[in-house]
Order: sequence, then structure tokens, then C-alpha cells
Amino acid sequence: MEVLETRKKNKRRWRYASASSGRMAFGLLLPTFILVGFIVIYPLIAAVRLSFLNYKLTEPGEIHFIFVRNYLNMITDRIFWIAIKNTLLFTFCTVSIGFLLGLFMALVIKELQTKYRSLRALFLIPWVIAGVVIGYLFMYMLDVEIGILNYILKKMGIIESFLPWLMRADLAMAAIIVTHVWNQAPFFMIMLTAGLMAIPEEAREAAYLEGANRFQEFRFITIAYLTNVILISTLLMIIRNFNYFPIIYTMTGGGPGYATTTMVLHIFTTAFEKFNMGSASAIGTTWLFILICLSMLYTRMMKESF
Amino acid sequence: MKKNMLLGVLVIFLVSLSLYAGGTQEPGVTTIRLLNWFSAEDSTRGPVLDVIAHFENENPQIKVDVIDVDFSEHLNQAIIMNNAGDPPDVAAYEGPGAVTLALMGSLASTDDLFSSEFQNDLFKNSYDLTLVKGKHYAIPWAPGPIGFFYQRDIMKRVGLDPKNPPNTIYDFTNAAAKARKQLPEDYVIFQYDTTARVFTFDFTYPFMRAFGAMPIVGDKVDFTSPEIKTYCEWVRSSLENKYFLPGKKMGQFRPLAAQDRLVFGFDGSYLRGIVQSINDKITTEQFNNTWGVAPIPGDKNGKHYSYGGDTGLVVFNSSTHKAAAAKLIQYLVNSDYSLRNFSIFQGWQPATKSALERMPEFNKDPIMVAFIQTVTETVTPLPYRSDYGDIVLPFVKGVQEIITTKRTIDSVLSDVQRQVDAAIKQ
Repeated sequence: MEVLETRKKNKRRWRYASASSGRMAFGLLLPTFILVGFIVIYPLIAAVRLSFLNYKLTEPGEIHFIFVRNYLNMITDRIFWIAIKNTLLFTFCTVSIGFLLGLFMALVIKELQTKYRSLRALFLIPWVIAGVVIGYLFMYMLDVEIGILNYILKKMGIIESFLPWLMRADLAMAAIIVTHVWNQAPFFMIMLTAGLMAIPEEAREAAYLEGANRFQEFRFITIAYLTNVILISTLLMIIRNFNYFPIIYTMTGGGPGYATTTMVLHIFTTAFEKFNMGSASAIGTTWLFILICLSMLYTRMMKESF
Repeated sequence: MKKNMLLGVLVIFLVSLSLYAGGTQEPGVTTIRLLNWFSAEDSTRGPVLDVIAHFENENPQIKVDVIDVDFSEHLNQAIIMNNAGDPPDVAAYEGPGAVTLALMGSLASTDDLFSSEFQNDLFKNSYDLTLVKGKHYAIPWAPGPIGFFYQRDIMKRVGLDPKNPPNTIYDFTNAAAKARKQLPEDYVIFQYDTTARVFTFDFTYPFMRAFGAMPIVGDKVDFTSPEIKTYCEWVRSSLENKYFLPGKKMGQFRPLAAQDRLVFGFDGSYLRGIVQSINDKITTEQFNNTWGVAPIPGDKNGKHYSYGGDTGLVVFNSSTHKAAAAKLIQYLVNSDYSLRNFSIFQGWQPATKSALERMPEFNKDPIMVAFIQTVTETVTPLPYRSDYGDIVLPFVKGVQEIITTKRTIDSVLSDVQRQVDAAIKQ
């Protein structure tokens, strides 16, 4: 009886303590919620509201409600579709090439002797440099007149005359992709290195004992164990690259013409060069909707993985 | 208890620190904020800060807080700061900037801020470029018409006559072809801005006019005319023949002039100052002997056009220090110290008639004299309007497509026109 009473008392105490710590947690988190609400939720709602207005900064007296006209103009604007195409192309290429390069680097480092594994830190350097700095670096390296790449290629006899890497529609996107792959491959390297370390040696040994060759071991053991890491890292980078701005803006500003104009650059140009906040908000709201769908997919895959 | 007390003391300390760091102002001193690109650029930073420091010495009750901004971003930054409720007191502008800001209702009219004596002293054709609905909204600081610079030594070398620089755009194109044939690839034939900026449209407008193109006339906007097509064909063929470097800003050609690798330049009277800041071995006499100045090659009838390129200063409506702001502007524009140590030093034209009379140095510089006597009169007003950016940006992007893809010019111009029509309708 006494034991039962004690148990009941302990349960009451535990419930009280849980409720009390829950209230305390809520109280401590409330300022953060308010701040996040202020700097994230409020601008979001304001942007959606702006998307239904005719709002140009250069015509402050002409602000009025125009319902969905901004969205209709967006759909009929060829630049919108060019931007979507460029964003998909940029994202697909940078993620796939970045992943392959990162996988290669992770596998190479794994095979290195332990004393050389600190070289991993050197491979991280492109990842830690700010995008704007990388953009300027490559912009000067690819310059038509003073760029070192043109100089090397001409010396090697690969090109006859200097190429305008950033001022030819067919070359500019390739230049942006190469630059961004250089920047983000280390991320894949780090993620995949962690994944490779988690593969049990016994699984590999068992595969070899069963008669598997190197390629079969890689395909059926290594890749199988890395599936979750690959899914999570590629999805993260897809979302990141859909929104990517610094390198593209620094190197080409979305040009030449619209050859490297992605959705984010299109929104930026509409808002801050044409000062058309209503249109920019409509494009931004649409893009937000697409990214929310992607994020929901990512969250679902995370839940399934874990 | 002790912990709570310590926490309280820490919070009070941090709040006090932030209040102190927020800025202390000496009593009786007015601080005005000046947004400009001169303090951000190597060639002009030293001189402009020197003039401002001198102004502060002569006016100890006024302090100037200088805000640097990149030239390409100055209008964006001014508009964003104004819309965010935190505009500067004074801002430098170039070209359509003043009109754009005035149409937004952001600026104070200069008619009310400056004496009629000072306003009458300003060159009328420059001052009137800042008129919006009958009122002036900016003070010109450096009228900066774009002129045609020709490198005499290189012209002689390739068999061109430096005493007879090209007069029409057709003569110019022939001269460029002759120079290209004889010069190695590392020489650039002429300076031409093909970046995607509103400024690029302004800079290239005289060339459109030379082909008879007037894409914006009042409310009518037409980028599909035969004259515009001819202009676009000329730009495309000029690049195909390697007369200029694609995608470069106007200023990015100036180092080539400093290295004697540029045959023809399209720039302001301040080119000498900038070239000397890049290559300090070039003396003023050497520059004046090497480079001649003429109006930009004109149309088939020999009529010349130029872009004003005026740089000036504006006062924002919301400034609570308009009198101090006006004092700073007047000092920068018309004081002897500023004229001598900034305008003349940089090779700028003066904005006031009295400056020409007070400063004989303006009349000793042959480049300056050529600009004043032959180039300034060719300045053509640009068709500014509130949706100017909406209209001209698609066109400059279209020109980039024309020079970087194989698309037909007709299809590019049709797309441009569609975009512009949609922007005007909105």
C-alpha cells in the first residue's frame, strides 16, 4: 500500500515537473518565436500581400490592388520560363557533378595512409571561402583579356584566340557551373567521408569472401550503405542551389542577355533594378511554394531514413 | 540571489554600452550624410575626402559622414535607403538618377534651397536636365558629356590622319577596320560599354542617334524600327571584327588607354585624371599631346550627338539638415578649393559660369577647351520617364543576346518589344 502511494506521489511529482519544465521551456523559447515570427513570418505575409498589388518604388502614388495580374504577367513573361530552365540546368549539373567529384575525393582520401588524411582539410578550403570572393576570383581567371585560363589554353595550343568565357551564351553557364562545383564539391566529400567511415569492415570482408570483385563491392556494399547520405546531401544541395545567388551575380549578373539568369536573379532584377516590388513578390511567392514542396519531400525522406 | 544580481548588472552594462555605441554627438554640431561613389574609387577617393575635410574645417559646426557606394549601385542604394526610411541627406547621382528620385517624391526642390544668384550661375542646359514638372531637383556638379578621344600616335602608325578624326559613324567604322587590320590582337580599337545596365543605354544612345534611331519618343516606344536594327547590326559586326571587348564597363577600358593599347575612346573630360591615377608616369603634357578630342562621330549628315553624363548632388526631402546639406553642395560645386583640388585636378568641367571666369586653368587645358567648345553643344537630352529602367533594361539585355548568340536580330528585337509593351501596360 505504502509502495503504491509512493508510486502515485512520484507520478504526480513527475507530471508536475514535466508540465513545469514544459512551461519553462515555452517561456524561454517565446522570445525566439517572437523574433523569428517578426523577421520571417511577417515579411513572408507582407510579400504575399505585395504580390497582389501594383507596387513600383518609382511610382509611389500608383499603389493599388490588382488581384492576380502580377501572376498572369509572370506566366506570360518568357524570362520567367528562361529563368526556370536555367535554374534546373544549373542545379542538375552542379549537384550531379559536385556529387561525383565529392565521391571521388572521399574515396581517394579513404585509401590514403593515415598520416596523409589531414590533407582532407586542404580539400575543404573551397567550401569555406565566401561565394562572392570565389565569384571575383573566377571572374578574373576567366577574363577575356587578362584571364589566366585563356593564357594557358592558348599556350597549350588548345585555342587560337582568347575566349570570352563570361560573354558567350554557350560558355557562360558552363563557367558558372564549374565555379560552383569547385565551391560545393567539398560538402559532398565531407558527407560521404562520414558515410564511408560508418560502413562496417565485416560487410566488405564478407562480400570479398563471397567472391565479389572491387566494382561489385563498391556497387552492392558501399553505395548501398551510402544511399541515405547520398539522398540527404543531394536533396539539401538541390534546395540550396535552387536559391543560389552570390557566384552567379558576381560573375555574370545573369548575363550575357539571360543566359545565366536563374529564378533568384530574376527576382532580384525585378525588385532592385526595375523596382517592381509587386511583380518580384509574385515571382518570389511562386518560387517559395515550389521550395516548400521540395522541403516537404526532404522532411519525409529524412523521417523514412531515420 | 547573487547570480541574479550579477545577471542584472551585466544586462545594465550591455544596454549602457549599446546606448553609448549608438553615437555621441557634440552639442551644436550637425552631422550630414553624403552617399557617393567618389570616396569608393581609387582615382577620386583622396581628392574628394580632402575637399570634404576642408569644408569641415571652414564649417566646424557641420560634420560630413561619407557613405561609399559602387557607381553601378548608387541609384539602387539611394532608392532602397529612401524606401527603408533611412535616406542620406545628400547623394551624388549620375544621368537619370535625379529625375528618377524626383518622380518618386524623394527629393527637395533646389529652387527653394539655393539662392537665385547661385542658380543663375549654373549652366542652364545642365541645370534644366534636372527639371521635373517645372521644378529643379538637383545641382549639377560636373557636367560630363561623353566625347570622342583619338590616339594620335596609333592613328599615324596605321595610316589614319590624326588632324582629321572620323566625322560620321560610317567614317569611324572604316577607320576602325583599317586599324584592326594593322594592329596586333592585344590592341583594342574602341571603348564600348555592353554591360546590362541602365547607364549602358544612356552611353550608347548617341550611337543609336547616329544611325537615325530614336526608340523612345514621348509615350511611344519602338525597338523594332529599321534604324534600331541597323544599329544592332553595327554592334554585332563590330564585335565579330574584334573592335571592342564584350561585356566590359566603360571604365574597364581606361587601363588600356593608360597602356597605349586603345585607339579610340568614348569618355568624359576626366579621362586624363583617371589615366594618370592608373599610370602616374604619364604627364598632363604627354596626355594632351597623345590624345585629341572631337564630338562623337555623327550621322550621315554630320550631325553629332552626345550623352550628358552629368554628375550632380541631390537633397532628400526627409533630411532635417537641408540648410547644411545645401551649404555642402554649394561648396563642392563652386568653391575655389573644390574647383582647384577636385574638378581641375580630375579634368572635370565646371558647373558654373563664374568658375570659368575665376579659374583660368580651365581654359589652359586643351582637352577641357575642346569639350567646352565642341562636345558640350552636342549633348542630347535623354527620354527619361518613371518607367525608364523597365524600358531600357530589356533592350540592353537584348543587345547582349545579339552579340553573344546567333539569334536573328529581328527575333531578339521582337522579344524586347514584347517585354517592353508588357512592362508599360502594367
